[in-house]
Parts: sequence; structure tokens; C-alpha cells
Amino acid sequence: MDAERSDEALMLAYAAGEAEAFEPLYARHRGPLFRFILRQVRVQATAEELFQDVWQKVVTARDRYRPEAKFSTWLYQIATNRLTDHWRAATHRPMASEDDMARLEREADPETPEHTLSVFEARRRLQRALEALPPDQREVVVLRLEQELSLEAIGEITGAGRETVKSRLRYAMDKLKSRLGGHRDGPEAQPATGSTR
Amino acid sequence: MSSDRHDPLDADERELARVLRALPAGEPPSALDARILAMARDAVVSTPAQKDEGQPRARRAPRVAWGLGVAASCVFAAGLVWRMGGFGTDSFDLVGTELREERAAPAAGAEPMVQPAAPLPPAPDEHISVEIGVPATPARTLAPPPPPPPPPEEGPVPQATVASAPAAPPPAPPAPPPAAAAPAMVATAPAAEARAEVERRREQATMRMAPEPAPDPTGWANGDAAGAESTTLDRISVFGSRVSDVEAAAVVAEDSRAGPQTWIQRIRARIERGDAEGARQSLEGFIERYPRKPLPQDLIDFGQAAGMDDLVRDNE
Repeated sequence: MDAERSDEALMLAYAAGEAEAFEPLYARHRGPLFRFILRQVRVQATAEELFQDVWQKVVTARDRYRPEAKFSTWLYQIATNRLTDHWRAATHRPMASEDDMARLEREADPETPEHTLSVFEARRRLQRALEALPPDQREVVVLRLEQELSLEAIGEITGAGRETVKSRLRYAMDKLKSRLGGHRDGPEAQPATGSTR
Repeated sequence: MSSDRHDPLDADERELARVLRALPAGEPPSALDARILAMARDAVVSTPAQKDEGQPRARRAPRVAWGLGVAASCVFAAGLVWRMGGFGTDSFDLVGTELREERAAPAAGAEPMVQPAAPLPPAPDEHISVEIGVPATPARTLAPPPPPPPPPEEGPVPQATVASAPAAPPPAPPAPPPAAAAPAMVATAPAAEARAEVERRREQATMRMAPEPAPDPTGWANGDAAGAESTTLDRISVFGSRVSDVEAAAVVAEDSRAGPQTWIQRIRARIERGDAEGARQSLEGFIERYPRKPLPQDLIDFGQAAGMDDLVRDNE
């Protein structure tokens, strides 16, 4: 029966005190949400911490949920806000040095362009390319590629306008394609913590 | 929003999405899942309990406030009534009204025939003589006597007692006055004779008491009045025992200050305790003060027995 209920119905039921309604809701979104967070922070432990924070926020703010908004939108808004806080806190921490990034680039060198890009190699490059994206671009491209969300939906989650989302997505896609194609993006390959919004 | 929430990926996006989904790091660990599910369940389960705990608290507060309000209102009302003299004034007014009625009743009638046998206010020197046991000294004799009680207040009480209690058991016989046994107060032979005569007449008067003796305002020599006086005399003896140690001269002077009714009673008390000389002196003073006042028969008899024939005859 829970499989037939929408996210919004399950969330309302849970907010009304039906504890069992939370489990199917969590099952539907746990994987995508975790991956979304992990793509951003790249560290498993940090992703788990943020992932738990997001769901805890869902639980504590359940009375404030209104069915006018899609549950997934509301959920990813919470996650985005939590990631923003994470990035703000991260600005006070030392970022990966250019030497580290250079080392990562050198590690990838032997495998390109002489070797045929295997799936594993493509994953590794994509991972590095994602890490090199600014957070707002990375956020948009992950939501687009993994959730297949529309620009409008991404704009609702991130709080940015449609054109801003479109621009960020275009920049992010270009960088990823160039990285996967063996091109170096130079300074843009450095991990960025600033926002391009 | 939901209709255009998902857009199909184009070719480039599909290629990247395929690679992206193939990346490791897919799912949260099961321990984290269990922790989050437990947290969500506990939050929902504990919320009704907290609400149940909170509701009585919310209801308790108005109850306490209501109780405090009632208590405060009671205190305020009591204080207001007290400030306005509502409590004691009514009851005091009632008592005062009763007293005024009691006082007004005899005042409306004639002068009471029998004076009350109520004890005088205790005089300080009387207390001293009782407690220390020292005979009164002349200095103490010169001390101002206690003010006599106002006759109108005491009058109706014994009269009502006599009139309404003819069948009541007679009052207890008076305790022998200590002064009667005192050597200084030994009665003389004529006094003893007079006392015997008084006793005899009192017995006769008691036997003649009517069932409903009406107070006779002028009946000094009335037999019924004599009976009433005899009843009162028993009570006066108690009073006499208190003042037995006061010297006769002082008592005479004191008697002269009292009203005629009280004076008569004190003369009788003096006769009762064997103070014949003092009674004679006091009777002489009474006759001098009230030459036209008719004397009760017992005092006439006492005066005749004490050799005051001429004086007593004029007041018969």
C-alpha cells in the first residue's frame, strides 16, 4: 500500500504521526540523496554525516512540510542548504593544495591517451572532473545527471533562477566533457569553493 | 511543476549520466539507515507522550490560577468586610443590644428592691491580704476603695433570678467567712443575738415566699422581699468573705459611698459575718443619710437588738 502512496502522502502521514510512513519514503530517496551529497563532498564520512543531518532535519521539520511542494524538492532543498553550510565552514579549513591536484593529474596521465578509456577510467576521470567543479556547478550537474531534474526543478532546489541553472549546467557539462576527453582545463580544474551564482 | 519536473537527458548528458551512475559510492551504510529510521520512529512515538505530558501541565496551570484567584478573592473579601467592620460589629452590636435591653428593662420599672449580690471588682489591697495573709494596715485602710458597681447594671440580674427560680434548689450555703473565725473579728454578745434574730427572720421569710414573687418596688418590709433578700444574702456572703478583712470604719465609709440598695446589702453582710459593730455603725450612717428611707424588717430588728431603737423607729 505504501508503494502506491506518493512521497507527499507518505510525508503527510508521517507528520501526522504514522511512523511507518517514513520507511518507504526513506527507501525511495536514500540512495539518490546520499550520492548527491557524496558527489559534492567526495568524502564518505562527511557524506554520511551530512546525509544524517538532512534526514534529521526532515524529521524535525515534518510539521512544517506543505504538500504544495514536491517532497523531493523539499528534501533536496534541505540537502542543498546543509551543503551550503558545509562549504561555508569548509572555507575556514585548508583546501587541497595545487600540489595535490597536480599529483592527481599526474596519476591520470599514464592512463591517457595511450590506453583505451575503460569504464573504470571514465569513472575515475569523471570523479576528478566533478571534484574540480565549483560547488554550485557541481550541484546543478549532479541533480541533472543523476535525478534528471528539469532546470525549473533544479532552480527550486537551489534557489537560483532558470537561466542561472542553465548557465551553470552548461559550464559544468563543458568541463566534464573536456576532462573526459583528455583535455586539461587549467585553472578551472582546481577545486573551487566559491559560488558562481 | 511535477509535469516538467523531469526532463529527458540529451545525448551528452546521457553519456555522462551513465558514467556517473557507474561510480562507486552508491548507498549509505546499513548502520546509518538503521540509525536514521530509529530516529524518525522515536521522534513520532515520543511526540504524543510529550504532548500528553504537556497537556496536563497546560490544564494544571489554569487550575492553579483558578485556585489562587479564589483564595485571593476570599482574602480580599474578608479583609474588606473586616475593614468595614462587618464581622465583629454585628455580633458586638447584637450583644450590646441585648445588654441595652437588659439594662433598659429594669430602668423602665421602679427602683429594684434588692440589690445584686455580684461581687465588687477586686480591689488590689484585697488581693494582697488574701495572697500574703497579712492583716490590713491603717495605711491600706486609707487606700481608696474600689468604685462601687453601678446599681442599674446589677439590679435586674438577681431580681430575675429570684423571681424566676422559686423552685430552684437553694444556693449553696455560704462558706464560713474566714473573718468570722478571726480573733480580731469576734462578735460581741449583742451581735450574736442580733445575728440569731436575723437568721430566724430570714427562715420565716423564706417560708413565706410566694411561688411567683412579684418585685415590690417599695416593699422594704415586705415579706416576699425579705425572702428575696434572704436568697440574695446567701450570695452576698460570698462577697462579704472577700471584704471581711477590711476594717469596719473603712467599710462604713465605703458603704456610705454606695447606693442605698448596696448599702443595705453590705449592712446585712456585716451582720452575717458577725461584724455587729460595723453593721451598727453602717446602719447608723445609713439612717443618717436616708432618714426617711424605710428599713427592711431584718435591719429594724437588728437595730432594735443593737440598741438603736430611736433611730430605727423613725425609719420603720
